[in-house]
Amino acid sequence: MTWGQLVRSALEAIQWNRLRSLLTVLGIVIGIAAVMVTVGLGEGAQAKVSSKIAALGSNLLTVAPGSTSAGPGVRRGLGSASTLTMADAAALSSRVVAPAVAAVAPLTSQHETLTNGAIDWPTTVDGTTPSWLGIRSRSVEIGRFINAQDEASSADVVVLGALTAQELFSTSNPIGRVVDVGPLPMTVIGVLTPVGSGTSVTSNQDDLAIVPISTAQGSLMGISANDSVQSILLRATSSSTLSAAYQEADHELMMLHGVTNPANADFTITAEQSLFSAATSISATLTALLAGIATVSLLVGGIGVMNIMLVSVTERTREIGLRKALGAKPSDIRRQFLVEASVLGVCGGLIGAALGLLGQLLLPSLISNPVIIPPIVTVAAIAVALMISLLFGVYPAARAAQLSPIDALRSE
Amino acid sequence: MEVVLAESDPTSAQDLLVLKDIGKRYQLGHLFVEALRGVSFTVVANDYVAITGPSGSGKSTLMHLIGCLDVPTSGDLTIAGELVRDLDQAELAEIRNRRIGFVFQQFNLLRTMTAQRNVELPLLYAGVPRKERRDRAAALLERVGLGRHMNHHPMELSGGQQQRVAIARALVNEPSIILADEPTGNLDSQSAEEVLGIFEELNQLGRTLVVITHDATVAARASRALHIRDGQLQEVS
Repeated sequence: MTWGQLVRSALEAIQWNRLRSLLTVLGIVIGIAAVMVTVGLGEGAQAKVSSKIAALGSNLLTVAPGSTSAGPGVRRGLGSASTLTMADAAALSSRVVAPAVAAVAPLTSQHETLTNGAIDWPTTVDGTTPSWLGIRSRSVEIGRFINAQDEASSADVVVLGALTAQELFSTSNPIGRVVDVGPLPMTVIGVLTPVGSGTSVTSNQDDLAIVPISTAQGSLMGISANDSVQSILLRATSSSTLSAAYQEADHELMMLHGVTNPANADFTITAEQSLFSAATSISATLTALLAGIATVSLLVGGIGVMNIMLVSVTERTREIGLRKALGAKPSDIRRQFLVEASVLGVCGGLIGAALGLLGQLLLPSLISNPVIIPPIVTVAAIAVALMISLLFGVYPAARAAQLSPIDALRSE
Repeated sequence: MEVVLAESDPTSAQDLLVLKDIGKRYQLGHLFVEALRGVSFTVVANDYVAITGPSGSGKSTLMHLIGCLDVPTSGDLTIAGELVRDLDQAELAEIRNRRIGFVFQQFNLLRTMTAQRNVELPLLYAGVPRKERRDRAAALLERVGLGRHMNHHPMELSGGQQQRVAIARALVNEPSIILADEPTGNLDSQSAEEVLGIFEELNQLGRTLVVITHDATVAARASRALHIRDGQLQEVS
């Protein structure tokens, strides 16, 4: 018998008992669909995290005051005042001192209420330098960002986040309007392009106000000539130089602060990415767990196929006897049942894959998580279904092949 | 040399089926059952032999041996010049496929297939190409009067029609012997008569038939009858 004939007669046998065939492969269908959706969720989470890293600005390091080293209490440097200064930021921007650092932005951050007439809107006010825009991978939608001149003159200008602008000015153009930032009236010079809200890892990046750091340190904090900063953002020249940038910054700051023992450092450098790698590894663990459960369900599905194939062999003993009487060799019978198991497996795999792809379409709107199933996974899932059925079809097929034609013909 | 060999060989080309002192012993637990004890007979080409006997006489065992569904424990069985001895399941399957056309009491058609595809089955295992299979099956169904029922499934056919499909299936691979086991056992008298009529016609056209039956009226239609009792041939009439 040729393979084409075998597949045809297998399809006939399956069609003859449609409901039972469907129940036979149900385990495989569910297993395949589960594996695909699980992989899809994992891939989706990965993609979401990657896009978030890109949105925040990759290759990013943050220098914060204080130490995380072990010891009694938390080191706070000199009293409660920040130990980081504008001089630190200026030193790090030197290409000679830190060649792996592409850009530096000192940052002070405080909560203020912005007022436009009767509308109050509490938000985060960040004082920083023009390089913030590039480091954070942000852009300006309308107007302009703060520039060096604003910086030098401690200009009373403010750039608003998209959400902040909308809350304060609704749909009207805020450029050139004056808004009260705490006690200070400031001119709105630009609005940032929205990056989308709902990020779980960081606060809403569209709700903020940016002022020149000199303005923030001077008028806003009410202490003139205070050059301390709350943190310094660093951008490495590329993701491969991130650790070089880390070492350069660490070394330079230790020197500037006169620290010789790294354990006594009065600052901490963290990579933004580490936050995400933690998030990624959690989702990877979850994915692995779910994939494990799905694999077990696939195995159970395979055992289901074996069970029904054994029943089928018993039920079709007479057919096997007849085929043997008509000239079927044991190998013909073995092949027939193996092909039947394979066809069942492929059908189950196809149905499972269809359900998985349906899940890819429907799930995101239900759980607000992207589901991305790579095409190779779909193909692999069907192949796995085929392999499992084939594997669990071997024993029933061997049993059928070994039946004696006389006993088989005699059975009723 | 060849002449000498031919002279010393008691079987001739006309002898399609030769049983020489055939014995068959089964083991049931600790008990040995002698199903057949020294059975010898010859069926020549164009013979129409009925093998009769009560149940338990060894009739079915004899049918299994002639049909190559089983092998004898002693004696020589020769089918169309081929000695059936020391053959494995695959080799036996091939002899069944080429030499024997089975007709069963239960018809034994596959319910999932049409009449035509049922008839094609032996050709499938013989590796005959699709077109030829279809043509040969169609021609034979036509011959047994089922030309208009080729695409019917067995469940849509009467008992007599099903047995005629089975006869077409038995003929399709041009076997040496048509081996029928109680072919009318499940049929009403009119259908039984139809089947026996086809057998007679086939015999007149030169076919060799061996019919195993306990029914005296069926046996009477054959050219001769062999009676078997307690595993031994009783008489040749």
